[in-house]
Amino acid sequence: MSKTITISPVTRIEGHAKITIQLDERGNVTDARFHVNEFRGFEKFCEGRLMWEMGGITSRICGICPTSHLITSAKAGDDILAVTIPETAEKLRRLITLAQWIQSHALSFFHLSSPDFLLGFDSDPATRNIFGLITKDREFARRGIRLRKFGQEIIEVLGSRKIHTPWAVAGGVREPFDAAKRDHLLALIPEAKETALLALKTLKSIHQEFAADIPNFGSFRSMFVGLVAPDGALEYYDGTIRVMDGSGNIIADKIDIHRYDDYIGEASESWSYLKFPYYKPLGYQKGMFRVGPLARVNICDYIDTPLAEAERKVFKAMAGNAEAVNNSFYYHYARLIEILFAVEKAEMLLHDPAMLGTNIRARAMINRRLGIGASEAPRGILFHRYEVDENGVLEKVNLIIATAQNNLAMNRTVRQLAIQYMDGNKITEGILNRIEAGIRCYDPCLSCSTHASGRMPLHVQLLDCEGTVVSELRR
Amino acid sequence: MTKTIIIGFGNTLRGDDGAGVAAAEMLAGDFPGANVVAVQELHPELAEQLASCDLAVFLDASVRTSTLCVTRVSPARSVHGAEGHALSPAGVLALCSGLYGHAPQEALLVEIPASECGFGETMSAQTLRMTDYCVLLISELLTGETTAGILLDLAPSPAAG
Repeated sequence: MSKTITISPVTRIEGHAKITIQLDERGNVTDARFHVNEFRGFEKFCEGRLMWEMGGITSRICGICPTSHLITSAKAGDDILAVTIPETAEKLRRLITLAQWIQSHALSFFHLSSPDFLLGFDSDPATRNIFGLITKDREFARRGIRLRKFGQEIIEVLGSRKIHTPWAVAGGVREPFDAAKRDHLLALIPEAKETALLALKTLKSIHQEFAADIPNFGSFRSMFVGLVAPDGALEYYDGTIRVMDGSGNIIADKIDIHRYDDYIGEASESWSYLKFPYYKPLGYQKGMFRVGPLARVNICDYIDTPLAEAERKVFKAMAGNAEAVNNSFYYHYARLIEILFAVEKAEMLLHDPAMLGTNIRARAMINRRLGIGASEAPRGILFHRYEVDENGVLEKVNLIIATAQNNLAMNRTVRQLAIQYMDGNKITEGILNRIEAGIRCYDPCLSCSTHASGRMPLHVQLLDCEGTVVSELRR
Repeated sequence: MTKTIIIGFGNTLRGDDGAGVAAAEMLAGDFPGANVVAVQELHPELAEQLASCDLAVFLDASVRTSTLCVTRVSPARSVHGAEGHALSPAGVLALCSGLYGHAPQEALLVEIPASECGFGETMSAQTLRMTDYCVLLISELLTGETTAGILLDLAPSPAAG
């Protein structure tokens, strides 16, 4: 008799989900699925609202990356107004996007994932958390909190509040920057940079301890999708879409974001509210791709800040330079490279005199009936597509969220881990921990990706071939 | 002199749920020099601010009580409420204690009764009244006219209420 194991809820990620593992009569894993079981329906209820409201509405999708939604929504609004926003406004938006990366990545690494690395996958789950981390290395934990605070500080300085700031609008931003704020933020850069370097050093120093586990953490070839700058540099705010295959070949490049629909399709499955975006030219399933830090650091030709570029070279060398880094465990490494980049780049921007300009907003009426915005949210490329009437009232909304774009890869990772570690019909803590950690590589934000609310505890179920629950573990 | 931090939190787009934030914003207006924070949710960075305070007062809307309710909060003993980006008062106190070796000597949670938490920025009449009452009490705390101990005696617990 075949069986299915369910893990629900999954812990230390943002949102609600469960995992089921299907076993055959001999106890071998035949399938494993990552189910997201919440739904909010932002795309639907935004219809009928004014496009000017979308920044405020869509940023409420999430408490972690509201700024990414705000910026992407503002960019879709720029498109509807058909304006080129002032240089100062663009640079300020770039700064807040970097701040979003810093605070989100810092939370992911220090608060959510470090307990696995510093305490070990087999340590007691009761202490494998932020408090265990504090006990093990209080200064490291403090630095992580302060690094996140630095990102939040930039967001608050620019947008007057840390979460759900209404600062970016179609056409630019609401408030200018000033020298006192700039100097305040510049004073925080050295510690942030030091912490980013410390985190990289720590991850690399403990990396070998996980040598036996790493090959099972989502190690497979897939495509990688993200934005790159016109010269191929790592991009976070603008640019064009690049697609790389697992062998490191660029298979599509310089794709205008307005054509994203030609390349990215969205499939649905009855067992999850999280959609399954795929690379259209290859079709569903074969079109699996990954987005986010691993993708971005893989696909770019270089990073235009010195310390992060040096790390990128080390990162790429792991796969022999030509090949893409295909193991999802290295999302963590790429995430830390991106923190370093974001701190360095923020410093560069803060020294740019254009940041203090006062021309910060272009004003216009509705000039287009379709607007598309894209930017790199912490977890990957984010698209907002709005169709409006002549008054700017929304007729259709499409939001393609980074976590959803990783859905096929997350499922593949869960399956790989289940096949590797499941032995018989019983779920052990060790298996549970590794499956959770496998998902955590992607730092999924299910609040965003289903536009659903809540946090994500872990629930695993083992089902037989007739769908009967034979084993269950909750945390 | 007691160093106090007032933290109001909640969602101002969900009617009465924004009562804690509204109270904090009123207090910040009345006491420009006071350490008053208004946030959508409690986040880990607050631990650092808490570490330098003797008294912390959290202001939150609650559907569990029909009257203003003041209770003492202790740092959480388990990770529950202290993971992720949105923390509970006990969770953020636990983080503070863990990270900095100490938490405020006294921490209070003031629950403002809430009943209508649908979409909208308007609070119900009762929650508005209770928010004003909360502001009055915390004003007296900030001016030294009352103490945390007196506040704890003032309002019934949720069970009693």
